[in-house]
Amino acid sequence: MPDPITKEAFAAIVADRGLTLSPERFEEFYALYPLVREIRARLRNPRGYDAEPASIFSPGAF
Amino acid sequence: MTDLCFLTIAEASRQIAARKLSPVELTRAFLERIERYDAGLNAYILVTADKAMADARRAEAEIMAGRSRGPLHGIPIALKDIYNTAGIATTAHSALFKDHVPAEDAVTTRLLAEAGTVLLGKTATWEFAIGGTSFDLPWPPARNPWNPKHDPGGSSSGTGAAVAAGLAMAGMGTDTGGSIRFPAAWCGIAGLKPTYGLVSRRGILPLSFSLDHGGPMCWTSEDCALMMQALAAHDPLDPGSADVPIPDFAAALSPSLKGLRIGVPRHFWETDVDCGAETKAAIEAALEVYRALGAEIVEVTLSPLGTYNDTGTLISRSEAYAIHEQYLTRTPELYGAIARQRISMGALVRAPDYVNALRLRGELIRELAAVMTTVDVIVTPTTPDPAPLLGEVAAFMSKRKSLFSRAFNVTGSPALSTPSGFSSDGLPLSMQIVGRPFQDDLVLKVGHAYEKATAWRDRRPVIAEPFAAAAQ
Amino acid sequence: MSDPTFLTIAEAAKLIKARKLSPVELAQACIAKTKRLDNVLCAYVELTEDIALAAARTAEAEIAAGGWKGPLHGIPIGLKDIYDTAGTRTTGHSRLLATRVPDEDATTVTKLRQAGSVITGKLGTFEFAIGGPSFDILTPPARNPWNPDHTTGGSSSGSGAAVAAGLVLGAMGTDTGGSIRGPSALCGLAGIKPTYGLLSRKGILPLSQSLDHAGPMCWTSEDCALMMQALAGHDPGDPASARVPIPDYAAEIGKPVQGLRIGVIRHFHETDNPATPEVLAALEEAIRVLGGLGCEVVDVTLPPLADFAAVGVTIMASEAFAIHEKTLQASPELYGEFGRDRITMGAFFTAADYVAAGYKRRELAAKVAEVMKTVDVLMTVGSPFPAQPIDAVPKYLFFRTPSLTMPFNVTGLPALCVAMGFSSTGLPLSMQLVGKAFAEPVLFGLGDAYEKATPWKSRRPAMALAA
Repeated sequence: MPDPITKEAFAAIVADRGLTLSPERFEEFYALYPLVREIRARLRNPRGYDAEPASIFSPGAF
Repeated sequence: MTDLCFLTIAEASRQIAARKLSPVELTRAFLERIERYDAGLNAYILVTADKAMADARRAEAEIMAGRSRGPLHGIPIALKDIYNTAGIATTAHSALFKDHVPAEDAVTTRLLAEAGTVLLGKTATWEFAIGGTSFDLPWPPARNPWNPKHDPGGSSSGTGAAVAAGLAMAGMGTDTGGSIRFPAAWCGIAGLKPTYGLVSRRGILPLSFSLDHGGPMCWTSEDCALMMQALAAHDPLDPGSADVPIPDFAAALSPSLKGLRIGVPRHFWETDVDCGAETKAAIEAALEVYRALGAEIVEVTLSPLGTYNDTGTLISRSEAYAIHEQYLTRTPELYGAIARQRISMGALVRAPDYVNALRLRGELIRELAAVMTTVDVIVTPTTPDPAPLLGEVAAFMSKRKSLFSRAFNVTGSPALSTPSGFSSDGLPLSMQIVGRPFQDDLVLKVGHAYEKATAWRDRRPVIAEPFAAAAQ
Repeated sequence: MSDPTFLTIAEAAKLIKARKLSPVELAQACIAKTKRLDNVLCAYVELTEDIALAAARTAEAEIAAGGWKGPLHGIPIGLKDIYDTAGTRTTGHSRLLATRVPDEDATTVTKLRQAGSVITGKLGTFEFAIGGPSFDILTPPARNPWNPDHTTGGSSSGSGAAVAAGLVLGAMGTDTGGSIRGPSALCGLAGIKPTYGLLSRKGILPLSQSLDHAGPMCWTSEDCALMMQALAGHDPGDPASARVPIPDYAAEIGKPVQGLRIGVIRHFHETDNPATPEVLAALEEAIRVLGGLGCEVVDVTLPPLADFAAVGVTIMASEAFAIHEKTLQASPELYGEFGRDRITMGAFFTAADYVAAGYKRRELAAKVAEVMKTVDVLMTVGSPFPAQPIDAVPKYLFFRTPSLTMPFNVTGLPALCVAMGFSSTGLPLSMQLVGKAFAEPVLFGLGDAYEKATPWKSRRPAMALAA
């Protein structure tokens, strides 16, 4: 589990993400945020520059 | 010697095939010219002279034995230094990759080798194809052969400078927002960003996987066509690669454009961007040439250029950051300041914004496709102005001065830049020709017809001897 | 005819073709049953009785004239209320779209109509296929016919309830992280999330474009095969639509399954997201049954379930928030709490997270493909537990506990849930069978063999038996 972040730092994130949260919802998402960071960490593993994501782009598909 | 270095591929390959021109002599001429002039241009990061001579000797032996590999056989080329070359350093012009020696060739590197080309060396680039004209890297930035005080454009700056200066007969660039067409424009050469998926990206250091394109930079569109014949191939291991029929690019070239419908989104350069008067005049003159060649000019309207640009920039920065994140967080000091700053921008993007940019991308593709049911190609300038002084690019390129290229990375369309004249200062002006997906052959034909109808391809930069001497 | 509403599609189709069962009578029976039960079950957002009866009369006339179109002709089918229906309200079960009437049918709806099926109406869903079970949205949530105090699972909850109770013979669901398989599992159905790209999503309200799948929910695997036959096919209107040959989906129905290699992903349901002892015991029994049918059952190991969940949750939340951000800002009061808050989670992911999820998705798909070279089918549970009480579903379950269904949205592989018995409390249990890409017929054949070897399909919810 990543280190918890401060409420001030989380408030900055909430503002940056364009969210307006009631105090109750702020607390709820603050409590959930470590989960987001855990998910985020799980997506990272060392990968080379040649890694490719699952879907790329196909100009003919549109 | 200089004459040999100013041949086009088309001319040289005819002479080579007729055994009137020796690939060994040709290669030696280029190596000597690089030796003489590149200190003032910094087009090359690495000159692979021994390999070039070996390649040339092999080509010559094969040709003498009657085993011709086609029009690229014995042609000296250069690769932007983000194309992997087995056993040869591939630095991305970055301290981070200073000692990076790939084990394998990029697919395109291999295809060009199999076509019999001679590798002269690895050319300068903006760091990781994004860092702009930088002075805080292990190698200096490339300079513009038309005036070495000026910028060559980027990111395929070394390839642009080398081809224009006759330091390579052709070269490879990559293009994520204009990085083939932009230096082609400022260096006065032809450069094609092929349709996304037509040329393999495998083994080219990525900047933004959904916008990256590899493609040729040559003196003429015809030469780009000859290069494309070797480069276009389905690569099942590149997940972005398209499995489509490959046209005969050279056979498609013809001087007549009778019945061709050219769409002109004038609002791009009349209102969306502050475009220089000389560029505007050159594009109008070019349209007159096209009329004379039998084409019909049709006014078309697309979304404002800024919508295309913002979409492309947001996707590009997001993907670049995702690619570099692990390296940028561990060793930020190994990046130059501009690359670090530009790539780091991607860390600030929210996932939903990236997702929405991809959705908007789909809408823009459908918009362009709808317009292109009424016209065969679209013509715009490539850049709003000719090259400024070296290093002034970043300040010079505001939103109101954006290139016209990025829109077609967003749509994945084939887009060619070809010179459309010269400024009063003697710097190249340029136009862009855009086609429907996988109609790269038509785009090259439209560029070729214009080049044949105008005299611009007869003029080469004169690199002042004193400058070259002084630099040595 | 005792109660035609509990016929399978296969059975009803035979009778209809032979003109021994009237599509009009069948539709009327389904409608009458809906009127009797739906005030409790809440399976429907809107029953379109007149449209259904008109379609049934048309079908009956066509068949009488010798124009039988195939096994769906005259079969009552319900649609999750995120499938666009021309002229009929399509709400996403949300107050936000309470009055939205599309001009066009979804491609899959067109295909169902062309096959002659009788569309009965619009079925309940979690709000926008993510927010539920919720009591603060357009209409109350669907309840489980096996015990109406319990949830159906979601998000295709009305589809699950309606098929189990025999309000329809088949239904359409959608599945972004398990929304076909969850309710199929908890309601005792067969439900398939087909291979990504096989069924068009054009005209279906999106939740997350790179994970969304449309698919059928029926009483049996065979019925799923019959519906798939009408539904599958390339659609240029869906950018992710695959161009693949369409096989005979019923080709393996009734065929021996001897020699099929089944890989049990034991760590998924034993350690990564442990199922209840009852579910685990039922799965072991199912493995014995399949072994008895001649299948070769081996254990396989995939990457940790949490890796798949991380990829799925990141992509789903990011894409869902991208779709809903503007309306969430403009009219948050029109969303239910679960939908609003689950979607809002997407605001916290960065573009780099989303791209990293794309990398990880390819890595995981490659590892699963590697394992799939050694077996024909993967197997795990359909749900780690039977249906919970409807008021006891945690808001962030999906974020906290790695889903057992999401791995196959992430990899795009076809996954079929098949009923495998009942809990001590009489609630359905389910297994999940996963095939190679576009190998749906193998799954239908295996599901069918298991259903025929076990007694589970002869049991229907007590409340839905004839009054």
